Amino acid sequence: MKKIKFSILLAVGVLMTFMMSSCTNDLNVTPLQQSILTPGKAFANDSAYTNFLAKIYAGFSTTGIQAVDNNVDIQGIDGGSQASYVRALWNLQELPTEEAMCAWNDQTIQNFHTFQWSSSDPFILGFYDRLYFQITIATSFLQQTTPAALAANKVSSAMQATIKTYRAEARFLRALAYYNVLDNFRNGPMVTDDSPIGSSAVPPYAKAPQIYAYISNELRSCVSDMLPPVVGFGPTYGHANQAAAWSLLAKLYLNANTYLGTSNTQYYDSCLTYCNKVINAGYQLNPVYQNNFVSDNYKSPEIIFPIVFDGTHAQSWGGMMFLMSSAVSGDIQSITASPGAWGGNRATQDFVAKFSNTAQNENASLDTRANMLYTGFNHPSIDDNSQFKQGTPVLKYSEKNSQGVAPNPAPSFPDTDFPVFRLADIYLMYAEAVLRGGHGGDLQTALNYVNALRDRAEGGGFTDLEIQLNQLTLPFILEERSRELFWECTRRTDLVRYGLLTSPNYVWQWKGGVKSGVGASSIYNIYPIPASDLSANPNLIQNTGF
Amino acid sequence: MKNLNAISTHTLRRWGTLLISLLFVMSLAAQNITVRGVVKDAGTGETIIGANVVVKGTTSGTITDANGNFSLSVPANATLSVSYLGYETVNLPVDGRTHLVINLKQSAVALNEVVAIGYGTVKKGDATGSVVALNTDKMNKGQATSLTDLLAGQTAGVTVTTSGGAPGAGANIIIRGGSSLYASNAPLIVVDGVPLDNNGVSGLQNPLSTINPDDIATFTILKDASATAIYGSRASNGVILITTKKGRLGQKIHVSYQGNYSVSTVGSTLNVLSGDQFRNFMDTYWAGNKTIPPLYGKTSTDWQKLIFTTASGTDQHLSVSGSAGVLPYRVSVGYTTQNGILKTGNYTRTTAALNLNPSFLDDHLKFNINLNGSYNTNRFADQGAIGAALQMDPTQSVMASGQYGAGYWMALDANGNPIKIGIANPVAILNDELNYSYVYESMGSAQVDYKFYGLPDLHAKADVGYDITNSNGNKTIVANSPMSWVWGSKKTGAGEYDPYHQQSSNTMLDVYLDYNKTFGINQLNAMLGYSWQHFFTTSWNATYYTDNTSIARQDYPAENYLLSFFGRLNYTLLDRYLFTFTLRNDGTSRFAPGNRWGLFPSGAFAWKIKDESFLKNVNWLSDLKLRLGYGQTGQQDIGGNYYPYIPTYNISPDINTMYSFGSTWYNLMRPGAYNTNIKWETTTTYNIGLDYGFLNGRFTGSVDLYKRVTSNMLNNLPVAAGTNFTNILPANIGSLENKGLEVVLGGNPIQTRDFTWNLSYNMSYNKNTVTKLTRVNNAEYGGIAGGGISGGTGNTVETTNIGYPAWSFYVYQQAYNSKGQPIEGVYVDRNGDGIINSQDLYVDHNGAPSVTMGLSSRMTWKKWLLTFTLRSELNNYVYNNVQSNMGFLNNSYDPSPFLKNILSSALTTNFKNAQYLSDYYVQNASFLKMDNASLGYTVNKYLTVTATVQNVFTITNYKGLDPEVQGGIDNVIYPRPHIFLIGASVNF
Repeated sequence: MKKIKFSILLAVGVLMTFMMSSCTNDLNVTPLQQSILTPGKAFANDSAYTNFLAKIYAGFSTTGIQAVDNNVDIQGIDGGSQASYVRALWNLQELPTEEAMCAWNDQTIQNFHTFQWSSSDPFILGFYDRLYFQITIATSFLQQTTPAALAANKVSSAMQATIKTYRAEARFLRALAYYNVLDNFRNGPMVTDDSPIGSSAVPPYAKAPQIYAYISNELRSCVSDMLPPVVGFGPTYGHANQAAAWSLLAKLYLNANTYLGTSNTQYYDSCLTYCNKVINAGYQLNPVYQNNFVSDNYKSPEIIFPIVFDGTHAQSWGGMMFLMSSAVSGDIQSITASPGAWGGNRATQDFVAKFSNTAQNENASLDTRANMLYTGFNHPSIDDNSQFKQGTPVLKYSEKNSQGVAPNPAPSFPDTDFPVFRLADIYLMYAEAVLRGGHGGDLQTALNYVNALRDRAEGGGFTDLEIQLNQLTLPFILEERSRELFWECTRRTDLVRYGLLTSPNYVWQWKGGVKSGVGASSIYNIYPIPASDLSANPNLIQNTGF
Repeated sequence: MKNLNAISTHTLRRWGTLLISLLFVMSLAAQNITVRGVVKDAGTGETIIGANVVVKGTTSGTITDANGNFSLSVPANATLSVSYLGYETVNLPVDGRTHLVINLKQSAVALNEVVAIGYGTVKKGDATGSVVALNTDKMNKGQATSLTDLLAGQTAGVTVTTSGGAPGAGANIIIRGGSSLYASNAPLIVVDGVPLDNNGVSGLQNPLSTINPDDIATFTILKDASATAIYGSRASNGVILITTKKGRLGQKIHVSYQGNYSVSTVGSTLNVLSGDQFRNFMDTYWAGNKTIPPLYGKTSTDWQKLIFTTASGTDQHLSVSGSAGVLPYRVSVGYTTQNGILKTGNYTRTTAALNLNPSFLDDHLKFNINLNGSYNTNRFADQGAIGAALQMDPTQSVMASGQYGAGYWMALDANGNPIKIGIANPVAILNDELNYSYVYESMGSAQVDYKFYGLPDLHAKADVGYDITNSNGNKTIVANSPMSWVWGSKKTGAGEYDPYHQQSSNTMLDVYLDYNKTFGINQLNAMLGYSWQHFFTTSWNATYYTDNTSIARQDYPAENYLLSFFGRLNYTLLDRYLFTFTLRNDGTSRFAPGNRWGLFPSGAFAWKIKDESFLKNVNWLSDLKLRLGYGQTGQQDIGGNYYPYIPTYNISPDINTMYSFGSTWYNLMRPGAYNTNIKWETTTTYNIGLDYGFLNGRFTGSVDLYKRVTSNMLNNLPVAAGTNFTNILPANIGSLENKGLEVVLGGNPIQTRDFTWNLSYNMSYNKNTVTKLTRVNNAEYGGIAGGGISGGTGNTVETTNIGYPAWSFYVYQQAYNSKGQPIEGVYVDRNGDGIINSQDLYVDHNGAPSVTMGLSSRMTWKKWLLTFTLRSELNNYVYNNVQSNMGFLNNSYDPSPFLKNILSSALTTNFKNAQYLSDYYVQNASFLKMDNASLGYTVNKYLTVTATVQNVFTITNYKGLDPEVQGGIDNVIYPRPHIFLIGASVNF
């Protein structure tokens, strides 16, 4: 009896031990989905590096890896509306200015024009997360493409040469994201090539001077590996070339004093150095102003670096779709052949006034740039902000082509690319740098550049809009920047540089939440670091006032 | 010589008679008679096999045979004591009778009832944890399409909220408040030993609806960790154990039929303006606007009336159980079909179940084999039609002849082109969208129980089980229909066909040893086991447009494994002091090797106070038991995220999200976010309970006090910017607490021969608080935002933050004027800094109730039966998104141009613009509902007929349509209909 008991128990014990050991290995699994690959398999093909680089670029255009705005990069907020680079950049750079006001009630969107935002603002959070997502994947790309990593993956030498350029481009794109951090937040977490991504280590806190220095060094060291400048469309369209890096450097130096809190003219010297490099690279002003913002603007000789959108292949509700659709209501949609008509953003009467005849701006009625302002609603004053038809729609971005023809059948998403840098901006930066005392340029050349813009603005080869040397002043440049670059996401930066963003001396309708416009606290010259990152990273310190 | 035969015969005769009489008397007294008899169930008339028939006061007795018969030799003046588990014992004096028919009544005293606990059973009286066994016969009767309907209001601490009144609608079951923030809050459901996979099935709103309620034998709910810890990794939210009905050995054929026919009617609908009211309103409000009057239609349409209808349904169920020789069996088939009150919707289900439980080798080897299958078809009526009906211009006619809209009216702009942000015609939504799903589901298990020879106290058991679903579905939107212009991302009038498929197959194996021994005053039960489970799922979907473009099919296969070792020790001393210890070690494939094993112990103590000598003679108290329990359970179910710790790259084949260099378009490859440190979330529960009973079990009840602390909480929260490939990552940061009280009291206040009244009341109070949320405590941090709403883009109204319940409403405080009317756009500056921004938002209640109550009543009078169930939730608040999105006046005109109807309440609220974040819309939704009321009549021993009403009435102050809203945000609910049923139940 005891023997039977014992042998049974022994048998059971053995059986169980056998089962245990053979099955615990079941707990090691790998993803079954075909498109999800472990690192070894992902880089088995050399072409994977191109796909990876394409994602870094695409992060500025679309919001995820599945249409439309699905499988998003940034979660927890509406992917298409808050974490899209172009849309977020536009909201943060245009809404706190005279150039735009939003009629919608989406969460805290009204706080931008009224200077009441806080550290828990979802739009600021979306932009911040998008920037750091770009920084992180660019850094990861660089970590995966070190010579050692490429050798370990047995990448062909031809591809290795191409990857050298890719690395330079990734560094440029990372610098662009850091530039946005510096310009909007000043301070923030710092991620570099040595940062251990995926670990629980938190990045250190960096203040503006450190971020500024990082951007400057990065761009200056990677630019030589980038593709040489290309004018117009070609097989490398979409890649950032050296002219893009020079343009970003020019902009960085023009604003350096603001970022660093100094007043050093040497930065303007550097700004002029890089402006000249771009100007000498062969870019030309597009004879038709409008053709920088049409569905075939990839042909424009003026655009230095675009963000690519496409009706079929690069679809997002944020991005160019937002720029076009938020600007029109259904009845004026056909003017720009916009795929959507959401009736949200339009300009204040103070922006429209920049195109009226004044002593500083003679013959303004000849300025064809003003043709983009739709006056048909005839109600330029925004009395009730919920009414889109009060205020002036800005029909800048168009789905029609350079011949004025709308596509048929009408696409669901636009094809127009977003110009990040164009020659006109470089001309104006040149002029401003000279006026601020920079060496490496002269006033007469600056005047010529500005007048070239104004001639183009009139069109037809006429010169009625040209100005005299004594009219070329810093205040004039500020206004001319608005007339030329409105709705291209630079206005806030320009106003901050001139010290006028929060000033009570430079107001527009509803600035600060009061109809006639009031000044706001100077803390609003920068955006707060989002509270959610402060709660995840104990190294960070919030910006003053928030 | 004298005559020695002088002993007189008379004396002899006298002595003889005396002797014989004595003998007779003696033999009479000692004389055994053979009593034969049959033991039956007093209610059903079925014979009872294995009932104990004992001579009272002795150990001599027998048990009834396969026909319920017994034969026993007993003294003629003996009293027989006849007993059987679950029935009241009957003491019957023999009185010289040789043939007896003994009827046993089902026991009102539940203490001897055997309830299921994990991997075993226990008598209710001996249970040490918080365990509730529901009597399925007495539960919610009448069109219980799924077992979630059976649960509502029946048990303290269990809330069931359906998503709405759609046929086959899904439901959330929450036991004692949700213990997880990001991981699943659903309890583990085990059917015949097979734990079901809770993750949703495409095409089937409620995966639990595939089990036919009439097949369910027992329904046990394990609430505290001392009861659930034996299930370790999946048990943090409670466990529901279900067993299906079986046949019995020797039972003669028993056929049972349940059927009903139902009619569902629409209750009330929301008030919107009629055509004429709308025209009047618009003319006044938008006076001076010249674009509006030309937009009016020529008629008056009540869109809600056009989309709702009275619907019918039926539920049929037939089962046969019996014993084919040594093979007891039960076979059942069922058919249910239910039309929805939203036109074109329908849910149909066919089920079949088979149970075999033979026993061999003289009960040393027992099998319990269950097979269950169902085929479900759905035609989904798109619930978007309800929201569209509320907003559709009431002056327009339904149909229109024109180039756009496929015959239905739709808004066109000044150029005659479709307005793409317009409202889709509700009637078109129901007719021109065809959405079907076909789901097969099957589950089965084979349970083996082997009793060792030579060691009868030791059993070896094994369970093998599977759960497979295969679902296919497709949605078609007709080309040029209003939806093809207004919905989706194309909006070009192209029709679309979206097929999808999902398949999941889960398999499991449990083996364990079970040992029982009583020695003296000690009783010991030990159990040791091993479990292996594999979950596999794959799905794909694709879209084909009529303009010859498509979104390619993408397959999403994934799997995970769970492995465990577990053991339990039950020790009872003097049959009064009970101790239970369990330990489970679970490993999951979801986490990295260093983090994947979790150890979950539990301990419980119970004291049967009533059995103590000082209470033995207190007759009015029939039961008093104290229970103390402690346990730790784990959670690792983070839904569709099967590989959160593995670094991967996702190379997307999507052709709409690419980037170009030159003229070449490239697919994108993105590194995936991952967390190598992710590990088990643990919930620790402390429970103290008291079970009591009065008047011989006439009244019973219990009180439980509990605290559940979730630590290392799986939380999807912001990761430090720059450290990973997304901004929000599941990590183990945070903790949550649930504290509560449950009270149950039930019994028969009236109990006479003809009239019985049984009442059962339960009440529970639960308070949920987040105690830790992020790595660093930042006072400015508003919490994790959630609770998306309709209206605007990306608006959220909820937050989870420290010191408050999870997912509380986070809104501005509305300012009111002296007349009590809200002042539009004016909010209280709570931090006094002069501006109204996100810092002025505050936490204003949440969607979970503080108190839930249920009351069931059952009255029988002769052959009549009247039952009803009441259910109440108190202090649950709902964000009325219908009012916030459709109740402001400027919404009536869109400059595209087109017109939208508004709620009648908008005229009272008087907001011109949307004020989504106002606490004006956070409304108290406390309610009292009568879930069902039923009248039944037992015609004869074969037939019972019933008439039932479901969703009888609702009493609430909530301003929306129905205060019972899943998730707390009312964004147009599918109205719950009143259902009238007539049914019959036949047994023979």
